[in-house]
Amino acid sequence: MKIRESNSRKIFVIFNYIFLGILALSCILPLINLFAISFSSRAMVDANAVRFWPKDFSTAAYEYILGNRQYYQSFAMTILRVVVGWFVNLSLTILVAYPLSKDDPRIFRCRRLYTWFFLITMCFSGGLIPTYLVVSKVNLVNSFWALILPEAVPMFCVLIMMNFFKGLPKVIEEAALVDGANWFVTMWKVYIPLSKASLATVSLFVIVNHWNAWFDGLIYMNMPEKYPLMTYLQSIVLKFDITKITSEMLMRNPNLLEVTGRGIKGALILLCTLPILLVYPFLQKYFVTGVVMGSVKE
Amino acid sequence: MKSKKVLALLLTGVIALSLSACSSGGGTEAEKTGDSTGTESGSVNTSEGDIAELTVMHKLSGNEKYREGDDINNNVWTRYYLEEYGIKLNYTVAAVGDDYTQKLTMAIASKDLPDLIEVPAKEFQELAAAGMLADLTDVYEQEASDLLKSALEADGGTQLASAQIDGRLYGIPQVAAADSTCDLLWIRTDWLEKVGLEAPTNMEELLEVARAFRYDDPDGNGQDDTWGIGFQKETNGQDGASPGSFEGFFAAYGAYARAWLPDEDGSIAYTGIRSGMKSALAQLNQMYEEGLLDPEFGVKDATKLSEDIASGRVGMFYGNEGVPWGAAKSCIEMNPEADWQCYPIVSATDDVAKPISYVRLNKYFVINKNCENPEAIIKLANAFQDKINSLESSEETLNTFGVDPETGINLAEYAAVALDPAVQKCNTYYAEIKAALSGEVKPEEIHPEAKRYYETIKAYLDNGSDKTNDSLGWNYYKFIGPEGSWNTIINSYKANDILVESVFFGASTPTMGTKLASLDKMQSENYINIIMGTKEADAFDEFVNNWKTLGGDEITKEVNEWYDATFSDIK
Repeated sequence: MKIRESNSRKIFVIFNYIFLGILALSCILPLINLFAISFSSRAMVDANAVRFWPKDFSTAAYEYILGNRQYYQSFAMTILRVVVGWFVNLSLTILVAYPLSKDDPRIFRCRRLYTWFFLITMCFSGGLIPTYLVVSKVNLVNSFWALILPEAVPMFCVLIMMNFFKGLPKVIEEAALVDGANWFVTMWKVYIPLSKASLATVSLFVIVNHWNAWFDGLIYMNMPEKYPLMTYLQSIVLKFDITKITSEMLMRNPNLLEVTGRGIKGALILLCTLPILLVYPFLQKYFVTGVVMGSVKE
Repeated sequence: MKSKKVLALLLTGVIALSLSACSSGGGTEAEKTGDSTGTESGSVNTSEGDIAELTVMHKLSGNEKYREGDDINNNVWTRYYLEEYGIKLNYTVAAVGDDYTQKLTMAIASKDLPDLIEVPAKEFQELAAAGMLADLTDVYEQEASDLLKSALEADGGTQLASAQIDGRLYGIPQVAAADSTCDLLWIRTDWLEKVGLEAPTNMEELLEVARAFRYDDPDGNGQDDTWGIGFQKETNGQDGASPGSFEGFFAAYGAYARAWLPDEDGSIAYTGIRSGMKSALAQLNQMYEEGLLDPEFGVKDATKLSEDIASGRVGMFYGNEGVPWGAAKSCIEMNPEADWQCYPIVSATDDVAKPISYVRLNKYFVINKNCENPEAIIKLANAFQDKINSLESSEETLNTFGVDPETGINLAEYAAVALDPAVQKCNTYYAEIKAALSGEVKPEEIHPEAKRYYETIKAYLDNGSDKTNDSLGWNYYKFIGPEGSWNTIINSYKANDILVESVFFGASTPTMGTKLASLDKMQSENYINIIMGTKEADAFDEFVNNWKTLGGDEITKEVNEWYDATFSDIK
């Protein structure tokens, strides 16, 4: 049987498509513009003549970035940070969320106290300078771990995991305990295998966070060689100091005046976001399930 | 239900806290600088033998490249310092641009300052007042070479005096070349020819040119798409704005947007409230009504205006001497017919127009007071002057310590206490290049760095001034060639003694710190409103009154006090 659509419904659908189409275009067009700018010559970019297709094709901006040692160093730093940060965050999230999910006071008497203990960190922070002082007094400044340890327990993820654990049937746990498993084994062998979906969500949150974080890199790292990619992207100063450009530099490297701030910025933004853009469509469904997951409770 | 209430309460708390967190930033900073006791440098200043080790905080340009095997702690400069002076530099913190200021704030807050630091003017005042800097008076007297002294005191010692507190020297300022901040009138000569006019020599002629550029289709494309004269939105910006500056236009009426100049009675007064400014704004309003200005100028910054210049919509604007490198360069690359030339600014009255220049002191090199070797900073400064800025330095020295001819890497970028050349060096170059081009001296006899520029210009001229294929040669030619901005205009400004210099260049006075930002905003809004006709020109008088009562008078008083205190020795 075919459901007949009323006229008003048709109009609604048409307008809906137009509206969503415009919304989608407004997201993708700036990126395309950036792409076109990054492949255009300096004069064209300076005259603001570039729209959605490169004019006077030039790869000078990419040559400039890829010829720079710093880009690779920062890229490696970010990869390391994402991998290590993911591992640390995920293991600590599970270790915190599992006990906090036991709301039976006979199992975990001080649960309330600990829940508040963790929740408070979500609402109150020491502020920039005191946090920096703590990190610097424990000698973490200029160390890789300054990027990992200060945010080692992501409370938002703990909340998601906690609610997910709570949602699992208690009888499974009781069965495991009856069979002689201790708490740790129950968590490891029963709860974690059952939570793969929410673990994927939390992983995605954590990975995206680590990929995008730039401010901690800026304040904790003393030398640009140690900047993660996003800090480097943020910090690159693209104003060429004209007084410092000499004719020799230009003779050796005629491209120097051919790259503009905007061209390099465009190229860098694309090079830095491309990896996460490629991964995103495949993980996006977990994002949606993950956000909904914690919201329904028994 | 109960948990929901708790959650709501919690969220409200979060919002309130995050709001208050935003406003609490300033407080902590003030606390930190107030507390000067117990500063301990994290560095080790042990003297092993005769080697002085210094930790350094360094501002990067973002363009540094190193030769194979070199890095910031091991390069031709650090090796030279170690061999020649026994000074070992450890660069512990380095960052680019604004990030550097952020790192500096963190270092000050955590009282973990390195030995040798580069600081902006505001932080210099704070650190010096808090007693965190070493007194350099004696070491400067003993160690500074004649060359360094002449570079630092080229302006009669006024800028160096800004680094003194109660007669003691606490830092080495990067002496600024104020000359280069004055405005020139840039005009597209191909458009001038097209409309059959000469370069303007007074305001009437300038208006005529502007009308022709606006309505006589100077680009010949048959479309109404050109503006008479280009301006951007910053009427009175802190660091000026080029292209599209207003200062050159205001100067036609004897007024300046943010200069401090002596009045008839000898006291220092703000020029942004001079009566001439009212006429200038009224004139701009008239031009706006005539359609000579882009109605969108109030939202366009210098970058946006540059786009208009590059794409051939603007053929006349006020700007500084560096314009051939930016917008005008893109313009000739887009359109080979285009050509630009700079002219002296014009006057609207019988008096000659006097361009204004500003000293923009933006950095000081300082030594932590806990450092045991404060004399190192002077030695390092000497080294840079000897190697790079000396007019006697040989081509070989420049190749070793300056631009490496093999790789094109500018090694001077990672020298410590690198004080850029003072004014007289530039002037010497321009004179030498001009003499070499006219054949008065042989190119071999002039300074090796000047010779490099000379060769670029010579090649450009020899190849028939082909600016399409040699836009770089065009840059140099317009910049320091015989028709260049510096030679033709700035030197003639100076020769005729009409270049005016704003006398205030210290860090903000106390009232400036609290009120200047809102006063500047008020000034800018009033100017733009009068130009665009949303306010009558008479609103200017009201603005002047408001400016005075809302803190302007206090600031004027403080500026006069600063002036008397700073220049009492030198006057």
